[in-house]
Amino acid sequence: MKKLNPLKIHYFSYRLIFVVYWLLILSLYSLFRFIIFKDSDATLMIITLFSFLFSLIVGGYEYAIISNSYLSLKTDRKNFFVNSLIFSVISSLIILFSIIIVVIISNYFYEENVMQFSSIKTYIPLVFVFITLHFLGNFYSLVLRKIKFIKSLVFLVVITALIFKGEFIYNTLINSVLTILNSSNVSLTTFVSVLIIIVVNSINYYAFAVKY
Amino acid sequence: MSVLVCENISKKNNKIDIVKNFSYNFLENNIYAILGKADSGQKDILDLISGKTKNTEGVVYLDGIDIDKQTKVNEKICYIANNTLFPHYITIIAILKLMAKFYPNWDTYYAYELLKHYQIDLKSRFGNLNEQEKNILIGILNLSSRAPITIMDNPMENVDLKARYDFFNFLYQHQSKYPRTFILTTSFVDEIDYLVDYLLMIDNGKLIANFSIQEIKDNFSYLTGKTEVLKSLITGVKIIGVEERGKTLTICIRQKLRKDEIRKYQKYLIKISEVPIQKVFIYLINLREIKGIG
Repeated sequence: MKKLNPLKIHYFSYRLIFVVYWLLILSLYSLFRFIIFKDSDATLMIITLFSFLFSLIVGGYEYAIISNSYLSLKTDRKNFFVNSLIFSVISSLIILFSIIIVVIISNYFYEENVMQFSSIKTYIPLVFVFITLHFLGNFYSLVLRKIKFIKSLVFLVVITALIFKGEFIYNTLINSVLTILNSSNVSLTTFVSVLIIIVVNSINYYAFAVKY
Repeated sequence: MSVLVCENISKKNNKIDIVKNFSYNFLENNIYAILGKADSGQKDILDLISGKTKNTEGVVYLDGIDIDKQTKVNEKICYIANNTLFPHYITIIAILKLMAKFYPNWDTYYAYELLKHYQIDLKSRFGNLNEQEKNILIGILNLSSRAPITIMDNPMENVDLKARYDFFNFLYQHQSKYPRTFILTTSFVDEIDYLVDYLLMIDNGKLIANFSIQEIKDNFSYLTGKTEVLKSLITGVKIIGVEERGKTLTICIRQKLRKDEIRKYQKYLIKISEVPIQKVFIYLINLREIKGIG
């Protein structure tokens, strides 16, 4: 059990963040479902997109703050890395369950059937995408953040892309989320996610536990 | 009880030597103070001996086993640096619970007692503490860990005089009750000379001198008197520092004074006094700069 001690630091550090996240998706759902879109499918897309972003941020926070706190108390980097992997799965499951709960509440009150969101086929790729984004967040904190001017560069690239290819990015994002939510390409999504997870994690492991 | 042996450890960062051939044996139940200029690599030495960073060369042995292969590093060494960042919203009580999980000898009651003394609320969040409170909290965490080797980086650096005095008193009492090794860097060595057993002086990542506190008290003295009188008396004396203020000259000598020498100086109304440890360090660094050693 001692090997799982780092998860304790995750528990104390993230519990408030997840409560805030849950309240936020609940508010976002209510806002978009009843005031802006008045359509459950579009609203579900919005909260899924928001959850993708949240997973990415949590991943970044992991190696920007939490790892430092842990390393201040202990020096076992490999142990933290393994526990961080476990946490990424837990975090993704919590995010998924949060969305499911919101959908269930909505279904209960309005007797709607939001897309195919009751299908397990949707959940698997969704969890993989959350985990992938979590690891990409890790990658940003561990590798990219150390490159000079990276924040300005990322900002510039995003702004330029939005100005010149805004519509294309929007459509791609929407289509990707739709593909996942409609469970139309489960195996491809899962395969690509697993591939990214393996590559990104190898780099993360090297940067955090081998070369430091 | 634990012993830490450093054998020729070096650390390079971007091809620049941060620590050079540092060798020293930290024996059990002693308090070591490391003195150095701000960029002299003291913190890097602490990082290396605690296993937080890897050395480029050399080996650190913890109880006879290479620290990289030692499985119980985290049970034997506690080093919570001053710049530790806990998440802003984490409560003090949660931090104490974490410490209890990580350190087998953790003393919750003692931590509560010290927090109460410094009036830090257990329910307050880490991000809401001011600089002084954060410094005190880090000190308390280190002290209450009761790890066989406790390492502190400039403890109580941004803390007022009274709080600092109290903390070092607590440290002294706790060390007497539960003997263990402390290794600390400090800028207030003269305030804690009663506490420290051995002193290591670092310059440019190199260990330039190490003394016991008693050695410093015995071997370094100040002679103060009228400039002309004192100048005529100091031929053949090993001088490491000179300070002239008006017509008064103060010199720092590095030798043990014999009884006849003491009598001679007293006869000419030369005042003999103890040299503050910080001054010894400054004079030694000055000498190195004059000689061009770096």
